[in-house]
Amino acid sequence: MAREPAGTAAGGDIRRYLLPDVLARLRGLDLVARLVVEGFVTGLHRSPYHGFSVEFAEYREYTPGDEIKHIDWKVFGRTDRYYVKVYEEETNLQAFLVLDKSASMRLQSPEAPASKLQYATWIAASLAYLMLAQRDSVGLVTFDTEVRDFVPPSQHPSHLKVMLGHLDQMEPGHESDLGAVMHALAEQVRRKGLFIVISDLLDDPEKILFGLRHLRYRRHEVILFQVLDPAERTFPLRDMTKLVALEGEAEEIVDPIAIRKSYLEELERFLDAIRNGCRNTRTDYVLLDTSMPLGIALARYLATRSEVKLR
Amino acid sequence: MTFLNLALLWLAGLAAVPVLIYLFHRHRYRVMPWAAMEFLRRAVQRNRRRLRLENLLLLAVRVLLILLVALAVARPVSEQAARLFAGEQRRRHVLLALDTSYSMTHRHGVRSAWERAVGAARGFIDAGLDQGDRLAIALLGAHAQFLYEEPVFADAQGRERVVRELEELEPSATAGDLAGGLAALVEYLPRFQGAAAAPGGVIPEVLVFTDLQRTALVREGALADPAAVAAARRLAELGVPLVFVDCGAERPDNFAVVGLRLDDVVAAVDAPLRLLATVRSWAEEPSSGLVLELFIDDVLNRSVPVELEPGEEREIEFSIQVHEPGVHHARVLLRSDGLEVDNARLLVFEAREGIQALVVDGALDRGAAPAESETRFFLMAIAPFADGRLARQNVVRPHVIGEAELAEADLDRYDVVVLADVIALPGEVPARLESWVRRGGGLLVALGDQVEPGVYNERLWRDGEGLLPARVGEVVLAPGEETFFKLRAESFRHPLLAPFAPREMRQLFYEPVFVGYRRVEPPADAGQRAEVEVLCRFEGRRLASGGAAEESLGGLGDPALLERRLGRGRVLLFTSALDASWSDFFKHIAYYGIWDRAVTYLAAAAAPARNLGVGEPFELVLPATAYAPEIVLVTPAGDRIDKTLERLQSEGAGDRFRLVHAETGVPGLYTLRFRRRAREGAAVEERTEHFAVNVEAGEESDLRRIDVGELERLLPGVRLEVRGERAVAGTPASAEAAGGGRSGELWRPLLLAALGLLALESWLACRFGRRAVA
Repeated sequence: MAREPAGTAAGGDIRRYLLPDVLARLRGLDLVARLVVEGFVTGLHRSPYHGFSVEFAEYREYTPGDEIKHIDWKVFGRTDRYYVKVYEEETNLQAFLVLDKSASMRLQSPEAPASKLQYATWIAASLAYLMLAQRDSVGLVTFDTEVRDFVPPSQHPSHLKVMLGHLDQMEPGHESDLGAVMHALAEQVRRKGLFIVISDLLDDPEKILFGLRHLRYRRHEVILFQVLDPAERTFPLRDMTKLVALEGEAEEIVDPIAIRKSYLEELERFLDAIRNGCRNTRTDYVLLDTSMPLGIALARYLATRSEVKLR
Repeated sequence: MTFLNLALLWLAGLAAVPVLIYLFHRHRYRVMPWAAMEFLRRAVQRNRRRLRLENLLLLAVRVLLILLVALAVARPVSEQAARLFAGEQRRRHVLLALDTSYSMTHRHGVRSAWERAVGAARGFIDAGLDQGDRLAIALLGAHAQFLYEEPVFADAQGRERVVRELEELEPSATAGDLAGGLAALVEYLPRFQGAAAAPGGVIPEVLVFTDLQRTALVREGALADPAAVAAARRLAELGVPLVFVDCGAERPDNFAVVGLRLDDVVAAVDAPLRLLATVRSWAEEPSSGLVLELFIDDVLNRSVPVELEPGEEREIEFSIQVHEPGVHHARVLLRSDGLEVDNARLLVFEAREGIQALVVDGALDRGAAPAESETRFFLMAIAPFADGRLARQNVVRPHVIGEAELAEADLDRYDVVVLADVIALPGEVPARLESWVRRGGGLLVALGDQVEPGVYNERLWRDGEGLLPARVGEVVLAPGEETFFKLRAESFRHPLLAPFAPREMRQLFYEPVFVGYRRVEPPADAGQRAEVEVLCRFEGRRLASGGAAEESLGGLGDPALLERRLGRGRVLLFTSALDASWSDFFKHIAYYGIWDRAVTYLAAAAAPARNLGVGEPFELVLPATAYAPEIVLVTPAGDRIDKTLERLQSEGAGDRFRLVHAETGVPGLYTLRFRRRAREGAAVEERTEHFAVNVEAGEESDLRRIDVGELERLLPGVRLEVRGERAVAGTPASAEAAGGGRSGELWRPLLLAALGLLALESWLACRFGRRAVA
């Protein structure tokens, strides 16, 4: 597979690196991450996010729990409001990329450009690249039934290499238990941060939402990227098919045409539950499938990031 | 249920294909990893029962679809199913006509055309008709007959009855007249209630089961007959479909014996008899290996090979002798082809010791010497051999008497009575003579100059009611020496004159010269009366230009020889004299030929008609002396029928008895056995009599077939169709007549049902989302 020269992709439009089927031809997560982000940023000039500044505020409004010694009394004198003077390392966001590496993420249907795990990895890498470029602090959590890797957040540019190294060497795990993982993270990470969860969410929605509420209770911001295979969303199969579970021993011989409608109804019911749960917890929820450009994920992150800054 | 294409029923096995495909697909699937198993499991769980039902329903529809198509291809015919499709507006009125002419007995292969016709008709009734339909059966032989006065209803009982009666039918032994039958069929059609009488009424169908014999339709322009033309026109007007169901052989060659006769008018014991058999070919190739066998009284007498070219008719001559007096029968048999009825022919004849002739010579009473008698030459003509041993060879045994003895004569001892210039007939003689003639006697009356016309006319003419065929008048003599009379005949068809029919023989007939005769006046309407016939006349002539030639005096002359048929007998009247007084007739061969033949002709007239055509009644009149209380008739089929004699009450019949047998529909030899005792305690006397019934030989033996094109030309405008016997069962004569395809054959509704199922399958597959799934 030929590697495209960085920044000078054939055709001259670097934005095409946002397309998964193009990314699938590239080797090296760092390259993928850089091309995605550069392609995305190039596109911003014509996007609704045009004018978005990467400069961040140095003060933030006081919230209970902040140390009083950090209140900037000069600002209070001018504005009659309490603002906390944020230290350099604290002005940037602390974010965790929470990546589902359970067995179900291995799914790649014949028409899909990449597996769900690969797509999730691309998102994670790209977001890490972007965040570090913004001097945000970013860490990495991978999980299946529990947290498997935990890379503490850092804003040092060299941290990208560490992050990508973990992502590159990541092996799919077993069944997933996102709910439990979110509980664990809520307990483990005390400092308010942004959790970017990238998962297929194929688990009990009640448990997921329960974990989500726990995170939110800890005042963490959460962006939930649900990554599905296009086949999972449309169930396009036609011939009799024996579907073998990626997690567990289950298998089912099905006449896809006969059950498509019911399957899609079940899927929609599940997605509705997730959507509603996210709405109730004021969680950003983004449904992606592996054929969608990665720019959607980046844009959604930036939108959330800006809100996080404003809060 | 029956299948017309039973061999294709195996296609029904293809109905297993959808099941196999279903099972095959159940075990043939791709394997794919899947993540969202929970949704899948729930979806499958929710739909499992519905999916199973849908699959079974689709499978059943597909199996049924193939079954229906396979069944349709096998063309099932079902009476019950036909009933399902039957409706008031789809009733059928069917007139089935069976050709019963004897050509239908022609056997090709295992079955005869008749058996094929009955089988096809039965198949049609079984498969094509239903409750509410009406049915009539016609038999088309020489005349059309209908089994039922009114069409019967084709319910199960009606069909069973018709089929039963159909199977009991036999073909006739007569020639067919399909053209005439057609008119009868058309006349019958209105008996189907509402048949085409009102708009929307049921149009009847006519199916004629026949061998399509050409002569039955085109014989002597049969279809050009006005009645047939009118019938065809009527059929065309009514829109009645006329279906000819072909039951005959494709190439029916036939050789037949078309005639058998004795050349001798009377068969005499020990005399050589000339028997002539006529055979004919209707084959397209010369015959090969044909043998004609002659049986006399059931004993093989002769066997001769016969070779016939296509279309050739040939007369085969046999010389036979019988040595016992009585009734004998000759049978010729041509062992040839499948039409047996015309391969044999019978002739029954009576051999006699001799013909007993009572010759009443009017001159004897007048004291004439034998050399001057009226009958000297006549006796030489009828009994040419002199007295003595040779006399036994005379067939005619004359007994000469004078007219005075006539009153005492027992007429019943004689076959023929000759009155030669008898002056008058005394007392009861005329009445006895008349009674005797009516019973079958043959009388020859020769006039002469002594005859008393008044007496003859009063006693024998009786204004046309008596014996004579004409009123006797005055003597006519040639007016001068150079004038005379000669015999002239308008035709030589009469058996008496037949020997002179060949042109080279006619001169012999014209040679005798007459100078006198008695003028007679036949009845004015003699031409119309079959019982009186003028056989020949006198033509006036004279010598012309010095006697080297002669010329006619012109005009038709007076009758010379007349015949009257009276009862079972005949009377011949010769208006000139038998002796030499008025002619030189006695010098000529014609004299001997005519009178010898006249006596045998008159004698034969008394014999009963023993050779009959099919359907002609046999009649035998017996004197009281031959009465027998016990009579058995044995038919050609071997059936024994007791017969009784009927006493005759007609005038002058005396104690005479008559036996009649009218059921002569079967050709062959019929034997009558008479048993009686002359007196009580005497031994039983047995006597046997025969008569023969032969088919009408001729065109009916010509089995050549008419083609469809010719039929269409002969029946213009008629909705004509010709079908094979196998193609008729269950199928309507036409869609319109049948109301659209109902007849017990199910392929059409089956295909329609299959189409419906196909549509249903498509709809179900779309609805169930299985279009791409087997």
